[in-house]
Amino acid sequence: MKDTAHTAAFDVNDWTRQDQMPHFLCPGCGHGIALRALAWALHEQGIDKDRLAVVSGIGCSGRLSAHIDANTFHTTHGRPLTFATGLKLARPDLHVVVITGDGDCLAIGGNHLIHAARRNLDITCLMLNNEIYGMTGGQVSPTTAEGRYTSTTPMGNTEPTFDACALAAAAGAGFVGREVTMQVLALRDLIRQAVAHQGFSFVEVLSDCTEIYGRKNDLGASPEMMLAKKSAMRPFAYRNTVDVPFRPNHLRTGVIARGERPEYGAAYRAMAAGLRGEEGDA
Amino acid sequence: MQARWGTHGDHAIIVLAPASVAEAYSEPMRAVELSETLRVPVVVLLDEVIGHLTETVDLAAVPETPEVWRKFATGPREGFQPCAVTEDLIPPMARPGDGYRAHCTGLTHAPGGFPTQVPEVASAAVTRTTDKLARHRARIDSWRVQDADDADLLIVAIGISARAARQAVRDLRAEGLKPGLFRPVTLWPFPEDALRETVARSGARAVLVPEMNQGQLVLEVERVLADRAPALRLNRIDGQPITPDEIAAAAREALA
Repeated sequence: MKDTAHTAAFDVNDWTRQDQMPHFLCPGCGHGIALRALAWALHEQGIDKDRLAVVSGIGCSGRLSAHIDANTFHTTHGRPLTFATGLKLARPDLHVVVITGDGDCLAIGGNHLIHAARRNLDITCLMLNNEIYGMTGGQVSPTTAEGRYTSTTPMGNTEPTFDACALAAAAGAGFVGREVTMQVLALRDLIRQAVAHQGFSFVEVLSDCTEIYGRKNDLGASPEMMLAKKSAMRPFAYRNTVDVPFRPNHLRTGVIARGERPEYGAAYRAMAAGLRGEEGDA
Repeated sequence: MQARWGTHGDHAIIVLAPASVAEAYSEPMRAVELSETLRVPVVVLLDEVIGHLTETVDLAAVPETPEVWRKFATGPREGFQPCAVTEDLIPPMARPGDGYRAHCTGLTHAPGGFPTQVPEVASAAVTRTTDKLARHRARIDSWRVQDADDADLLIVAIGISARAARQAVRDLRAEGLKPGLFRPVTLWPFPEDALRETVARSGARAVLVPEMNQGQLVLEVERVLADRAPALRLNRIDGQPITPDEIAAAAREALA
């Protein structure tokens, strides 16, 4: 089957495995919004589910792959990008999407992220950033905001946070973007662009962990957390025109970086074909 | 248990331990063959000395890249179970793109592939993977013997220690003594039946286990041989490989 332009209206139930319901996410968790936005983007992009592979790591984000009606792989902690790299190299005909979290992608799998970005293999990496290791009991993560309380920073976090998009862009990712869960349509469109991009694309979704992180830091319920995230963002369309009312050092949303570099899989296959004395397929 | 064994649960994997540059070529081929046909991770581990060896290898004798593949799922998509308990305990793998849209997880899973916390289903999933290796041990086990048929003392060693032991056996045989060598090539699962049979056949009074640590392989040998033969130790932990002379000296003492 080939991917076809979508004609039917989007129904998230077409993309999720009904026999895996109910899902295990906490009430108020932003990950479900990200999952819906991903499915919506894939629907709009006309992706064939049989040719879609979703690879996830460990953590709350890791459990999402089981809910998508596709070829899904729930792999080891920090390593979804390595599994995805092997899968995409072996099967370039598949669309490969990675779902990972801030701990999975930036701490345990940080090494794999920079090398996946450097190689520029045609994979879409969706990093759900909830600033915490939620599933394992609320330990501090590389994106936990300074001063915040976690189970391992009971006096407040003194570590600076990682800017995942800056890291991915610096390492060579061809497409880098960020969005908040509150902006579902913008998030959908951003993911759609990332999936369409030929090369390594990285999308950071600013999600919220209401139960573990929000509760411990008195950040309110999910709507308050989402609104706070949104108000702290500077939409990319605003560029550098104003610093006020945006607070300094807060993150931008939208497409952060974009560039065309040779896609690794094509380069690899061209070299292999050359060694066999064939014409390259690049 | 996690810190000691790398896991607190049970996972059956295969470890191959080459002891020469030739085996550094051939054992990875066997690893691919076992991994593909049994659907199990296979680890090939060299010790540092073997890893740095330069020696002549007859590449013509190295097996070709095995033309074997894991079993891929065929048949109806509907109701397909990616982790079903099949006759040979090796479930066929759903190949992405073939239309099965299966799920694969490292969590304890049901035959349908999705995580489960149902105790009897979880237990069955772990048992299947361990039973799988037990069922196919005839293909997995691999070992080499030297002068073992009439050995009074059997040396059990792997890697570079086995290379030193090989020379020691030659030297001692030239003196008229009767040592033998048993070398596991598949280290895990440990070839316990082969070791028991070799000891029984040779009538060895004891085994000697030279290794470059304070005694790890010897624990497995003691477990396997229990009351059949005492396991003597020869250990170096100073970063220098054990020499043939050291093994020969320990063997002479044991045979005295």
